[in-house]
Amino acid sequence: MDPPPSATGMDPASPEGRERVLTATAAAPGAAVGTATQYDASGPVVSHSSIAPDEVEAEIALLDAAVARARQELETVGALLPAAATDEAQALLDAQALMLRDEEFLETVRRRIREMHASAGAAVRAVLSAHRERMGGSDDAYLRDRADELVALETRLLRALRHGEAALSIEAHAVLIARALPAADLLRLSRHRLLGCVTEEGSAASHLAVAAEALQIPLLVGVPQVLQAVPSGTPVLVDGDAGRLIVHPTSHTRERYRRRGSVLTTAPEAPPDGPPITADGHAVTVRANIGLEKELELLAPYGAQGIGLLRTELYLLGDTGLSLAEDEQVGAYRRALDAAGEAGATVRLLDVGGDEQPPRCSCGLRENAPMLGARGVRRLLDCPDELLRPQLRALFRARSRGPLRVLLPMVTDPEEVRRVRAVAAEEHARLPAAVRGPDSSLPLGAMVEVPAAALRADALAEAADFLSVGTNDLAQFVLAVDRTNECVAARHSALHPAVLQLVQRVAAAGRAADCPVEVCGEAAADVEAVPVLLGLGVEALSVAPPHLLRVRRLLQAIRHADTPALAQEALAAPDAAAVRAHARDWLRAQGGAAAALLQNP
Amino acid sequence: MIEREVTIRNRAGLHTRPASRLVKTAAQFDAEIFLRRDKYEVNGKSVIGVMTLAAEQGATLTLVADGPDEAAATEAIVALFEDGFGEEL
Repeated sequence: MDPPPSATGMDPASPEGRERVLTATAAAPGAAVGTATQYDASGPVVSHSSIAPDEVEAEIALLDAAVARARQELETVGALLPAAATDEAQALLDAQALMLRDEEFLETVRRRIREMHASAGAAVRAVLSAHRERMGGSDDAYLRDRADELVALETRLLRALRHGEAALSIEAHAVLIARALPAADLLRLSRHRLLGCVTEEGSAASHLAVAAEALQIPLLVGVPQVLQAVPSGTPVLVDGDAGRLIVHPTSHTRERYRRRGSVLTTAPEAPPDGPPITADGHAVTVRANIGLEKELELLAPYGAQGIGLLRTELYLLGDTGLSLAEDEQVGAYRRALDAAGEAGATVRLLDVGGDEQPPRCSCGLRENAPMLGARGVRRLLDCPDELLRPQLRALFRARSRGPLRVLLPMVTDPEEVRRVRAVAAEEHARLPAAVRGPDSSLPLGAMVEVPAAALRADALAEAADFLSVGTNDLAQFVLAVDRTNECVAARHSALHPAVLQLVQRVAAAGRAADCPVEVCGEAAADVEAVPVLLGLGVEALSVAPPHLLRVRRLLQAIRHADTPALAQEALAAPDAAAVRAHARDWLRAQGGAAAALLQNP
Repeated sequence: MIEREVTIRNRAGLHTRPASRLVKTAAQFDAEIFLRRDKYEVNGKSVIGVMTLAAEQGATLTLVADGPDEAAATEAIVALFEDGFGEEL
């Protein structure tokens, strides 16, 4: 991406010789030059302790907004609490909610702001630590627990305050540097002309990455010790294509990036003509993965054939957490269906849990291996009243706007599909005839991410109306690789022959049962993976909007009839690297147009 | 104004759940509710205040209710204490 001229003109180019290049995992494309700004998403930090007398009312407003935010956050956590959660966990949540409504406490804090000109954060901290002191010194275990709850309250309030403050204190043209960053924080901060983002932790497969790509903010993850290496105020260049963070970039480097321009983040002049088709006339469906409402406007210009994956846990994410109110969901789905047009939308039910947990309350249950925990359809069936039923009702109410399919995340067994289908039928029957529409059946698909689902794809294809292979998670589970663990992340590849064998199995089961099979993971946008997937029998792909044009160009450049031979070579290859080598050779043999699409020809 | 002595009967003392129940009950009445332990007095409608009473099993507190529905409030809150907040005694 061309850095905005004002950004490059803002800070003088660093003297030659100070430039340093840190390697990183590229998680969202584009390049930008800006000023490093460190951001602490976790709090609790009180940045200043006192305010000017004329700031009292504004500071009290800040406090009240933070209390409202914290209450909203608690409600979200409560709605997401698994049904199996103990009464104790629920009681602790209740108590936290009561504390946030404790007017006596809040008035004491306000008085401290008003009379002592304390900042909201300092006032919260002072009032609560006085209470803690009263309870401390006791050797009663119950009392000590109660002191912990006051600590939790303090953390919650300071974090909520910090969110409001952080957004205000981010300067334009900032490149955010953080240890970790929740996707919700990026959404909030992006309104302040954020140019780029770099995190020490995180993976290319996170909500943050999807959000950054949608907002067209270049993102680098997995940069060790970046907080020590890049203090606030340092000029930096973020290269989200090649995975490079350039500290103190020289004028020469900036010029090089300026000239390079970008192909990924600029919308085309006119949408591509006709449906995507291979050089030998084979039609392949190419849909779009949507995470944010903002991306809906990209569907038409990029020529998407509808939405293949609407990630609702991201799509419904607002400033204060998930907006799960049924009426709001109805509106959100209607907007997606309107944007998708006659090609329709595939809405994936909430996939909460795993490594993308919404802010967890300090007293919530902790899972040792959340990726293997109560997430996806497991969580939906665990608490049908909180998550599943309202979402299905909203979908029934919205579907008059266009063709709608529903996708279940993290399915293990066909029985899970049947249970959701039964719940859907119940909810349909409960809706007034005027809003529900005559048809009680929703096309219900299953994500194939769990190896068990892929191995028993024949049974799953009988229960589901379509199958969508999530290659990111499938590869993670098949290869036993945690993508967020830097030590092993490089071992993750959807092109591993073991993963490909499962994709082949799913495609064959789908054909036999007349159940369409599509791929919606990153592999669907990977130039080297797409021909292999087609050769294995995959008929439809769903990719992030910026990749739609490249996938179309790739299809135009290759012959579908040649893909089965490549797939056979791939299945027989010893490892993922060998599969890539085969795919690259194959693409070069397809001709210049295909070879030109290789990342490093 | 009504004053009444109450004793914590449940084993776990006035911990989170009883404190929440007490505050929710107190909030249903217009009367002002106070709880006093020795010379320390807290607002019975403030959960943080009630928690800082640090009242363990056997502790005796003074309940004060003052307002139009003070009798009903006293009765409801005394019942909670006598029942040990529905917990193990």
